Amino acid sequence: MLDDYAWNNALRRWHPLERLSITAGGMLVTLISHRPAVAFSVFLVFSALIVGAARVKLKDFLYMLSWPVAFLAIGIIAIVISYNPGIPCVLSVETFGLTWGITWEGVQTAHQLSARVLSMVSAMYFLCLTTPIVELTSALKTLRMPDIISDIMYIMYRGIYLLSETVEQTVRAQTLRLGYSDWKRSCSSFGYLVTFAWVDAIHRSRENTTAMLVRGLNCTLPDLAISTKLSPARLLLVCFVSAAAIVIAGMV
Amino acid sequence: MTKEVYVFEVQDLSYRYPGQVNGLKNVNCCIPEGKRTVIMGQNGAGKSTLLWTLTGVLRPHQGRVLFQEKPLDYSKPGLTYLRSRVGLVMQNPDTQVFCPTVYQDVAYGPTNSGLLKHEIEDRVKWALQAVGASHLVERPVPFLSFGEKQKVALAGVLAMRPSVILLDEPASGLDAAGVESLFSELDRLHSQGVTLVMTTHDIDLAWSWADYFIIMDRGTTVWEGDFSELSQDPHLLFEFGLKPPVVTVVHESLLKIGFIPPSLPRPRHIRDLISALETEPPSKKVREWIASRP
Repeated sequence: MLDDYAWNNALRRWHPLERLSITAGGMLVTLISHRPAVAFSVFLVFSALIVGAARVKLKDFLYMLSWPVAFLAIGIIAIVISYNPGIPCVLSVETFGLTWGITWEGVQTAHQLSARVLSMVSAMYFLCLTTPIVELTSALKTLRMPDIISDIMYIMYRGIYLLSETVEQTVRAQTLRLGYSDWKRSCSSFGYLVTFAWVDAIHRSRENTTAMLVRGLNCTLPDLAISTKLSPARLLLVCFVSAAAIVIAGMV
Repeated sequence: MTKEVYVFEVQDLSYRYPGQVNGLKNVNCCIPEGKRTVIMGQNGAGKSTLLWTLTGVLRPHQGRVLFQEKPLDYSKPGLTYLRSRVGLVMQNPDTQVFCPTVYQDVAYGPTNSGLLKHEIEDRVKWALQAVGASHLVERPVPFLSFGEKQKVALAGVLAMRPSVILLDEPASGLDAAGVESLFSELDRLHSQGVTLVMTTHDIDLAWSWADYFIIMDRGTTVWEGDFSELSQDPHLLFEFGLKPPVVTVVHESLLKIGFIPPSLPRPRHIRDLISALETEPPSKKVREWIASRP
């Protein structure tokens, strides 16, 4: 889904550096300002850009957002709930001599953390959903990022898709032979799945390396030309808006 | 006259992949019990998608599948029952054979079926023998060749003793000897009453093997029937983007130039044509041709 949108979104004609600038600006605003309201505003702006400008379906965006939000929710619980004898709590319960409660400081920390996380995640989703990985790595190379880092990024990205394809097909094969029909069999099948996926990933990486070597790989992956033209006016506008937002965020 | 019994009936089935890509569109077909059925079509016709819906892996957005005259039950017990009766050999054995050794992989299905240890051992032994892979029993799976993995994948499905076996392009990646070996095993299973369903785009293979044909094009079924119906007009295949098998083209050419009599039945395989030529008395034209040779 991520890759589909990266190649077929409404902002596809923009140069990747323009999209990278927007993302970087949003992330800097979030980092500089300590106010949750600013971070939450950044989240709303990027969500609007993703759904409105890039034309990603709201349903799909919410689905993709659900995964980091789920992780965030688990983390928030650990932050919000404290245990300490005798501390003032908004809500508390006493068991075995300990006071388990939700403290006001915990709520404030959780509030700030969730706003920042949502803001950063939405900024990264904006970049991922509007920029194919090949263009992103080419753009990073033009910014003088070391080749090794961009090459590793690309190979890891591709590796994730290959691994998920292997896992999906193997789970299907296991399901067809009743591999997940109850809890005990599910555990056993999961063990086989992890082992097989690991071994398969190693085999595939060796085959990939051979395939690249026989086609003349020479230390770094070839750099593909970016098909979109950089619009200096648009880039200047993006940089100006980002800079203004950063300054305002610093003052607020 | 005995009524045809269908192991699967597909009624107005549609399935859409994520991203609004149509996999199947209003598919209607029946798979007869005890016969060798082939589902044919070009690449992207929806053959594999149809197999996945028959096993309950893909749930249709519209329509239904009847298994043994009852609608598929997508609950856990329902799917467990379905998958104990219907086995699927996938196109790529690399992801279907996943255990460390061949024995463990073939024993995987019977173990999940809750059989006792000695029963599992008997099943594994029988299944590997059935596919001619007994010598591979202790071999680590990563060291198997593609053809060997194909055999082990089939053995893994056989070990569950299904009454229906679905095979997705089983001949792809196999050499001629491998194909012959595989199909002789399949014919042996068929003689024991197993219903076989195969997808392929190889018309020559399908022509020589199948009893019943289902032809698909762009996600929908365009024709289905017995071999006897299709053999009356093999050029029907042109309408569906397929070519008639080589043996019928050769047969018609020889018929046209008078080398063979019209009474000769349509052959299914080139060797049927050759043996018919060897046993039939030569026609007048053939005698003249032979006489004219130095």
